[in-house]
Amino acid sequence: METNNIFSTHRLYLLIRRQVFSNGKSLLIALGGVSGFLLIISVLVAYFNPSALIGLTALYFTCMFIGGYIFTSNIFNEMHQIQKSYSFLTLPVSINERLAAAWLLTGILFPIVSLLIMAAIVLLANLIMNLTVDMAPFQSVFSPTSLKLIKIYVITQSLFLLGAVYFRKNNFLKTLLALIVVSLVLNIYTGLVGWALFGSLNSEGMHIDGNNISPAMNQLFTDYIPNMARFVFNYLTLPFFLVTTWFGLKERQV
Amino acid sequence: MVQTEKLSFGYTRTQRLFEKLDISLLPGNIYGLLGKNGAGKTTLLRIIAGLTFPRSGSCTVFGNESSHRLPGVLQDIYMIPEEYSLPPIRIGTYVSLNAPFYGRFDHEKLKWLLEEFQLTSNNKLHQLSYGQKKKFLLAFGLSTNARLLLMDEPTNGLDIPSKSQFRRVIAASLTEEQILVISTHQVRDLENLIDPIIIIDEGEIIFNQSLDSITTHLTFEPVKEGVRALYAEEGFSGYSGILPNTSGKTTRLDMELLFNGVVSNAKEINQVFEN
Repeated sequence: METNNIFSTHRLYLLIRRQVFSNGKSLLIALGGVSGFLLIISVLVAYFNPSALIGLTALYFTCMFIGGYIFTSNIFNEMHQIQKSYSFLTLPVSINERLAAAWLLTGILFPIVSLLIMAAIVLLANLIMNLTVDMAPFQSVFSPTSLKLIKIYVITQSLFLLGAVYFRKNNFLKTLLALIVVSLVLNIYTGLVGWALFGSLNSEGMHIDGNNISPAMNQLFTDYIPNMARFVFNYLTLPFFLVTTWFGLKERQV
Repeated sequence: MVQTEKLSFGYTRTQRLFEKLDISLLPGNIYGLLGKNGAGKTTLLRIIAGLTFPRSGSCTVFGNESSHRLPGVLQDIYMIPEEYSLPPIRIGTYVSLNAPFYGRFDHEKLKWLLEEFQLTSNNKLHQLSYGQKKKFLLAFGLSTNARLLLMDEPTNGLDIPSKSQFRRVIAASLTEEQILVISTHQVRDLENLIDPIIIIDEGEIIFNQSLDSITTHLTFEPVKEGVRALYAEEGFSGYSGILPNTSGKTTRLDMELLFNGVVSNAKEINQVFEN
């Protein structure tokens, strides 16, 4: 039978299964540790200060973001260690499947599992709250804000996926550093552009607001640029970083 | 079939390890890739396996560029490297996670090979010795029924009984449609197993002959001082040398002597085969 060299869902399933079970123990330990920590905090808050329970959602999502980025950064670890890379790179799977498996695990399955764990923790905390204080309203992690945060995670984790392919060691920290440097450079650049355009106004004691710039310029800054930035973030960031990760996988050598 | 055409490779742009290397590997053979440390044996195996890409030229495995790493081709390649790290799981788990990727994986063969190597599915991979791990990889690799098997220094770390066991298992497992390339600098370990012999030195293939051709053209025998040989070296019982086979008699091939002879006098030895 002719082998499909481009994409096979069966091979994708096998690759995900291999990835999960080969590193199952360390994954479970990490997930269990963080979940346990969050559970203890939540139970304590539910018992001693029930009104503050709603504020814990921010902590849950912070843990999910940081944990997810670290998990994503290490997803291609096998490929970067010379003693393991041969088995990863000679495994009969296509580049599409390698990328899809990594993305599904870190970008889709991870937030789903995290959300379910958060829901379980919140449920438990709510139960304790209901037992101890009679008045507690039921709080859930499934809210529009949560979905928005999940969307932001899915988009931003693609940057760490690229870092996972590109850097051979300390992928998380190096990706973080690269992001800081890039955002610094962008900030300095936009600052300089702003100064070049409007610096003279400032020296004359004038301030820029809707009254002293043209309507077209006002629309550019308040409408076009934010919309464009939203469009780039929502629709272009993820595909761009997935494509660059694909090329990184294709070009990877021992 | 594995074929390289004008293959050039270097770890840096200025220093070339291979320069326009041409080589063909045909099914039904156990190629012995011999060479000193740093000669380029491992690099050549990596290029064939698609782990490293040539700077120019091509390397095709069963008609496809190895650097494309197509699943259909990778199903037919299994490489046992010299240095490896296995996950901390049981043999049985490793097999259930990795064997399904290989369409022709033979579980019966694996069972037989594991028994032969005194390993069981319950053994934890990280608790095995270096030699046992190597035996497991060998058993797994042979069970994939891949048409191209690449082994880098497979006898390193094996004890003396395991080395002969290795030769026996290889000889019993391979089929006529398979190609086995064994890279080694321990030439004595693989005597009576490898044929043809390829010797690589400083990135060049300086010798590529079948055993039959070698014993037809050369003799390996004790030589007296003063006798002109293609190569001679002093041992405990006097000098051993390589001579052109002018009498037609067949002598036992001394692989180590041949290797040393070719590395130090490739030009004259190769001339004998041209005549």
